[in-house]
Amino acid sequence: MSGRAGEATDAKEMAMEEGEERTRLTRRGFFGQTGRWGAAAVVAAVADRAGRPGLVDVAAGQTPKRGGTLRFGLPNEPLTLSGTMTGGDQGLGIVMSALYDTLCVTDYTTNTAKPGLALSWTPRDPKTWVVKLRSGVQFHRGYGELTAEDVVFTINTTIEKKHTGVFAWSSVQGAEVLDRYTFVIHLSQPYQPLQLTALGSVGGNVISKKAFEDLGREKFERNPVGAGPFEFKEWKEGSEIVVTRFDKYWQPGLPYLDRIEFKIIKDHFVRQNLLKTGGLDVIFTLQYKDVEEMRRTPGITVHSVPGQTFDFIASNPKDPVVGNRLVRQAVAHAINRNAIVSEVYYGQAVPTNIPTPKGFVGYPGKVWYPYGGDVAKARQLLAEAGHPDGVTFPVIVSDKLQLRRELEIISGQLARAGIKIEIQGLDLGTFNARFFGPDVTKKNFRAALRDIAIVSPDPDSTVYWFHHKGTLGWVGLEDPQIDKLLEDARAESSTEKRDQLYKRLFDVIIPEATYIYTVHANYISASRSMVRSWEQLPTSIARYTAIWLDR
Amino acid sequence: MSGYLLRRVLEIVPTLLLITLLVFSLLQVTGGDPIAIMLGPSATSELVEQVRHELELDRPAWVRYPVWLWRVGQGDLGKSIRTRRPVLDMILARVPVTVTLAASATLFSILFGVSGGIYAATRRGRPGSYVVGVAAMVGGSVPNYFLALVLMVVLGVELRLVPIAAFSIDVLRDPQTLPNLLMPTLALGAGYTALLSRITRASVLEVLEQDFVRSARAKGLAEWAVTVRHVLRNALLPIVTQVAINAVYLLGGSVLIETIFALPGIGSLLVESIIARDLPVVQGITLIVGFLFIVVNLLTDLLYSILDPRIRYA
Repeated sequence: MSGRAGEATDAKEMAMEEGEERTRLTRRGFFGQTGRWGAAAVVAAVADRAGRPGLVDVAAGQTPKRGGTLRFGLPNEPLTLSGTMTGGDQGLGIVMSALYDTLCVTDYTTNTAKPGLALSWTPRDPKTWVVKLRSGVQFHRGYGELTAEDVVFTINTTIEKKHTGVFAWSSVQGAEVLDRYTFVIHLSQPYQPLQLTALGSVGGNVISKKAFEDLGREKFERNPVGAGPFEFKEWKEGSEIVVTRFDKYWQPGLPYLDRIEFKIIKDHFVRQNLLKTGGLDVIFTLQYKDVEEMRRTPGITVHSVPGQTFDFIASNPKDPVVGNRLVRQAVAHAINRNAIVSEVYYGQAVPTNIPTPKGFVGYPGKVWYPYGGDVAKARQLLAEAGHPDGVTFPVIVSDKLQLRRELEIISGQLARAGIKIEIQGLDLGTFNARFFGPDVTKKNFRAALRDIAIVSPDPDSTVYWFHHKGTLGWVGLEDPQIDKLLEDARAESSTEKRDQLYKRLFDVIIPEATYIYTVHANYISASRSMVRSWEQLPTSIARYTAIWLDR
Repeated sequence: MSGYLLRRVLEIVPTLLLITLLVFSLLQVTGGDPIAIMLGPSATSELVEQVRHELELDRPAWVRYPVWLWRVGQGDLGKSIRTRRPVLDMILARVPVTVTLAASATLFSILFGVSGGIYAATRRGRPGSYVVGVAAMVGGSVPNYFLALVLMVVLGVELRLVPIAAFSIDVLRDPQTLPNLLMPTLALGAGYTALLSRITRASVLEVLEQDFVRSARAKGLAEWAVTVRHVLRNALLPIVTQVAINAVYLLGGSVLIETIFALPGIGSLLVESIIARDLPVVQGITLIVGFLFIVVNLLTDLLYSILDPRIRYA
């Protein structure tokens, strides 16, 4: 332990020395250094066109400065740092983004896949894709060049050993090496979301075959070897994870930062106050109620973007009350989504009827249930359902603060339409077990409110896991038409046709109302003003190569 | 004495067995599937079942419990379901923080609680004793999490005297973390200090009325000598008992204080593990904290005979 602490101190001192050296260099040879920075900026801009948006702070018109430590406040501790695993909620993606580059990089402005470690991905036939890799990409800690062998090992190990990231490789049977920089992916069925959901999400992280074999799975999870801009340095359990600049990163001159310290601070109040008092430089997630106050705080910038998430009420179609479609539709009509946005999320959310945010393929642009609610229509539907005097049923919810509050507000809204709900608050563990029973017969709820973060900006990620028969989120509505539409939309290669298929799907599933969607909550972070090029993405990952500190 | 000691040591085994059986049963009754929790919404039923099989969670509870016990007997607390790391490693990583905080809060409460109690008792009826009484009432009434937040806002945010979050308080290995200890110690120690000062005051007052105290004063002994040598020594038993009880509770980790000050201690690990239904970790912590509880109680009992030679164990 003392050794590790010593290493950390040494690294800090080294970083300081390097920083001082750079300061002297700047004084001695300003033009020379500016030229080098300019070259780095050009390289970064080229890389930007290759698919890594927002790498250089061009908009600010400033030349990035090298060096420094970014102290980042995380709300959760990851369970593992193996690139092939998930777990640990929002902390995981944030840290893994520093350690691993993905095969494809998602451009969230267009919701499309851009080249990352992979330069191209082409279907040889609908069930076979050929992927070409970038050459010269190095793994951390001297584990050599990243090749097709590493990628194939990563994919096949994830699938065969059922690492938790295996969901990203849905429909993928396996992969094989063609040459040093080319590999083939074999699919069990045509699968169009491959680029975004597999190559661009957790599936796109590539681990070093040699490191994984040398260390073994358990050690690797705590001492990961990736090819991202930062390499793993130290993990103080329950306290912090430290990563340092990877000097052999494939994008020359990047990243700008020397070191990132991810501090695990679960309490919002503490995290926010640490940012205010200078103990942290960036924090991820804020209490919605505190956003405005943080915006008014001098020296703090709040970044809030519509999130790729959705809140929803799931209903059990076999239930004697909510099993009636008219009752479900009455609930969907009685909810005032605008009030949820203002009262629960303090304006930091977007009301919705569907799980798919605006900008995704298949976004229908139509409203089935008015965002302001329609109590009269809800009462009429209840009467048609044979419940003119109203209905009562329980709704389970986890201990997530905003969801509890959301359900309380929904409860008041539904009461006006004659629908009484009994709120059953459960701790997250019990809630998840009741909600995600291993199969539908083991689910134990009549109705449930929860939220979901979308894996990738593809409509398949928002609907398949909940509406297709047999998936873990499926509540038991058996409809071959829905399954077929989901499968066809997965397989369709034409974006226009996919768009139409998802629009048709929504016309079927939204009136069924087994899932009643309420809002897409924003992703929010806040940074100190000296942190430049911090970009809040609509998901819980981050990009660090462009970040620099303007001290 | 040795017979007593042997009996007490032998009692540890069935007590621990009972504790673990109780915790094991409680977690079975509360329900919740650790695999479904760990894998989340994207996992397929097949994956859930496979992981369940790998972790041997598909076996009935009455098989798993004796298997777990057998392994514990061999020094193996098993692996975490959530992180798949050895439970012992996970617990040991959290021990320095919890022990440091427990020791610091205990020392704080002894220093201020005992001296405050003696002061209030020996100056009964004077303004100083009322001040101590009011401070003890306030300290004992304010919840520690509230005090923690108030301290954080006043000392950390407004005055900026001390760091807000502690992160690490491993002072033995990293002395630089010493200032981090101040606020958690104050927040956690305040309640115990208040309790200890009231117990000390009551105990000292009782002894002060004894004849031997009057004799000591009549001999011409200085007041401090009377208080320390005669009064305090005879008033120590209830104080020691209370200190031991406090220390044991603190060793279990303070969930709220650890969470507020971002301290990676045993309390926060326990809560995380209960939420995730990570039974091996919950069992491991219960076993270790239960063991510490029993050992500290035993040591306290043995200390009695040193403090009061009239007490003998047979």
